[in-house]
Amino acid sequence: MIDAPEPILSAHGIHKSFGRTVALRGAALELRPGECVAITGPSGSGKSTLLHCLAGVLLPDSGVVTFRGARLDGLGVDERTRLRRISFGLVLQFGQLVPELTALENVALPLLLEGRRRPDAAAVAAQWLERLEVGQLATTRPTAMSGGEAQRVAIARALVTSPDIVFADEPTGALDTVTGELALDVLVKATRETEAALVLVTHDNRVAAVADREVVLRDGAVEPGPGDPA
Amino acid sequence: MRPLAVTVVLAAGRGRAALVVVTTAATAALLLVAAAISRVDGSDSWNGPAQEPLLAPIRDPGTRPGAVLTVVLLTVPVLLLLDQAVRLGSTGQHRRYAALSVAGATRRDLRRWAAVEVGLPALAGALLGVPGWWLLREVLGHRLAEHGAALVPTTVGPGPWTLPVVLVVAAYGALVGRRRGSRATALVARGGQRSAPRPWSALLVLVGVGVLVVISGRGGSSSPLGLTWLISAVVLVTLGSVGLAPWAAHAAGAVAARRAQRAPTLLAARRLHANPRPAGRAAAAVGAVGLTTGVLGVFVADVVQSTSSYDRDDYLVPASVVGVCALLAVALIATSIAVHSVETTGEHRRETAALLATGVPVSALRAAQRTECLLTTLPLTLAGSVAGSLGYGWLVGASPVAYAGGLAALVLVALVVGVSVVAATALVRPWLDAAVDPANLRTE
Amino acid sequence: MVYTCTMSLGSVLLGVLAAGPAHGYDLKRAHDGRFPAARPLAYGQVYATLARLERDGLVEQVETRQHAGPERTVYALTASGRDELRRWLAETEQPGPYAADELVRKTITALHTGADSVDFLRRQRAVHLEAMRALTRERAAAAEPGTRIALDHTLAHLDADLRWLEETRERIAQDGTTR
Ligand SMILES: Nc1ncnc2c1ncn2[C@@H]1O[C@H](COP(=O)(O)OP(=O)(O)OP(=O)(O)O)[C@@H](O)[C@H]1O
Ligand SMILES: [Mg+2]
Repeated sequence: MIDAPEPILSAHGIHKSFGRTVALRGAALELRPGECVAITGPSGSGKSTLLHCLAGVLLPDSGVVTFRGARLDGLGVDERTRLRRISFGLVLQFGQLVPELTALENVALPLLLEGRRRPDAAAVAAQWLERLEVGQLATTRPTAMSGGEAQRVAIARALVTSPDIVFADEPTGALDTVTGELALDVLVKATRETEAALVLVTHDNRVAAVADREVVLRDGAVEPGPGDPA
Repeated sequence: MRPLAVTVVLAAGRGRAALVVVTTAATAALLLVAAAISRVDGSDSWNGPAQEPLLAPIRDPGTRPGAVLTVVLLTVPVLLLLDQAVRLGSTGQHRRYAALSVAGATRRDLRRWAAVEVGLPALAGALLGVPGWWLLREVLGHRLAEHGAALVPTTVGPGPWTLPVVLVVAAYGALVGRRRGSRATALVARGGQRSAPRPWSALLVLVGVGVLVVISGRGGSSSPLGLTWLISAVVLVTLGSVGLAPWAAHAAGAVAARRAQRAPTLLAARRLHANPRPAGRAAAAVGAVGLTTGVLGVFVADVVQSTSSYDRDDYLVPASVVGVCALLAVALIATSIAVHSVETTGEHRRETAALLATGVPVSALRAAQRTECLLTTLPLTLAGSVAGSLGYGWLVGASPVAYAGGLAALVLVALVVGVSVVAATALVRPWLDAAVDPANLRTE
Repeated sequence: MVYTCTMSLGSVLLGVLAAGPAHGYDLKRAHDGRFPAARPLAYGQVYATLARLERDGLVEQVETRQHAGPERTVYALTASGRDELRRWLAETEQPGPYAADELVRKTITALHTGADSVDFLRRQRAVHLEAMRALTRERAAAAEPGTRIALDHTLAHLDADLRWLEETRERIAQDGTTR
């Protein structure tokens, strides 16, 4: 790290409980523009919960998440929704596309919500499908796609608004090694090209090795790095 | 057996069981009323011994079969709602059955289980139909009898019909549950989707229209044989239209999806396109209601215009009773569509939660739900209403004022549909809010 | 890749010769291209192996070329060389057993001496992951599918090591709580 730019997203002292289960106890993370970070850790360590807090899907019980200097908990519901739509992209393990919509319509949806005209939105969405090598699926519904194809369409939807950060929760978790690798390559390449930062939740070391650095979560807190005092 | 049966019913969800009880109770009560009306003394009631202070069309032996039919038809929207209620929680049912069949339950076991799941609350509902009928007789019988316009006979009850009605309603509930169960087990077996509906029913409509053309060419329906042909033609056209409704919903969904400019419209249209059968059934019912209101509009305006004020009430009171029933039916159908919509949303909980997580506002999802309901109900209501007004107006040679009555009915029914849809979607909002919970993003 | 058994290098060279006759220098270049993760071959090793293959009748000299540089002998597969190659390719490899290497020895010793094995495991994970990161970058840059496949093999082994490291940590943690 030669001269570290200002973090685009930072989280400090994040606590989150579900009933009596404590999922996060003081987790923290800083993300710099264009950086790719892997969040790893054992099952149940709070990876997904942290991702949801970072992406403004969940609000933490305590602790602060700031995006470009603005606190997420200070934003209204509508502002946060819009932030997720415009500035963030989200890719899940599976089951994130609207089953009734075609691939093209799924990808165009965020643009339509932004008030783009249907032909414009469709054209941009078609470009993204082409770019992720699933252009031929434009009129296919998710139920008729293979897992790898659906993941590419989901990546297209995450990137269509040119977000600053893409959050991915086990994006290859439902795919076999080779298909998963191809989908991951596509995700990493596309985020690099658009200079988006990528937060990658995974328990697969080979996926984690794609990232610039790793944040290990254990029992809801970040484990100190090898250089840090334990 | 007892505790197991109770467990079975509760596993299917309390909300679902409650809705099944309510709808079967309403159905049984209505059927008991219909039975009671049919048992009113058959002789000419003007000279008959037991002077029932009934509303004219019910009292008059000539129109009484029509009155019975109307009451029976009133059960149709209620049954539609029952059908949707049974679908509630079908994802959970599917999952439960998948687990049970892995555990060794045969398809027959599962179907029996499904029949019990719905049949038991249906039996309870059917039994509750008896006090329901009693309540209707108190309110719409004795109370209205003081004004000489009772809707429910007070001197006769359903008598020997009571047991068959209760049994039939309970059996129907079990049948619906069993059918649902075999769908669920079939899904377990195939994991598949149903194919798109096909417009084969159009053939029935064509044949019916052909018959109509031929008999009108032959100089009308004055002969008894002509009347038979006329009725068969009408039945053919009606059945054909009902059968065509899912295909029409499918096609309308596709067209609307291609044209949609905004996200909620697109979502609504695609959902209709992907799952047109429940929408089609509801649309057929709502079309019939629209037809009724259209006829009523012209009829009422015609009566007001052409009858002396003394006789008016004889026509207007029954007309308004039918009108109120029609509007109630519209509200019920709108509710059934909203229930259906929220059910499919619940089926795709994960996808819905993902939509919210990727920045689709809940308001857009609510708008999509409203649009879906409106898209299903409004066009056919309006079409039915226009067809009813024009058809009846042409039949009786109505004046422009009478047609204006039809127009008023059109506006009124459209308003009621709109209000019902808004109210029904508000009613199911807790389920939508549950579906968008971020917890649904987690892999199960 | 270190050839513990000389026969293995011989078989690989037979495989290169299956594409057509070649001289020693060509063989070295082709081998190094196919196995970028392996140590580059020494000429002496190539010629010693070729001599052995020739002695066994698996390859033969077909011509001696003299270009501007030194004199070069071109070798080709014989019929029995082709048979031998086919036999070798059809034969499955012995799976393991893997000898305990330095990593395992150190971890177990640390466990017995009561050293801070958790800290060691954590730092070892970072080193392993860094190695995987470098290989992943290399693989992304590699154009040749054979190169990628060879890198995949190394990556898979590092991944196995890493998973073993994690499991070890879990087991140590569990023993700590159950004790
Ligand atoms: N909505 C919820 N309701 C109840 N408990 C929850 C909820 N979300 C998370 N948890 C609990 O919080 C803890 C952390 O969960 P989380 O999903 O973040 O873990 P994870 O690291 O992503 O695990 P995995 O690798 O299995 O996906 C777990 O114990 C989980 O059971
Ligand atoms: Mg997770």
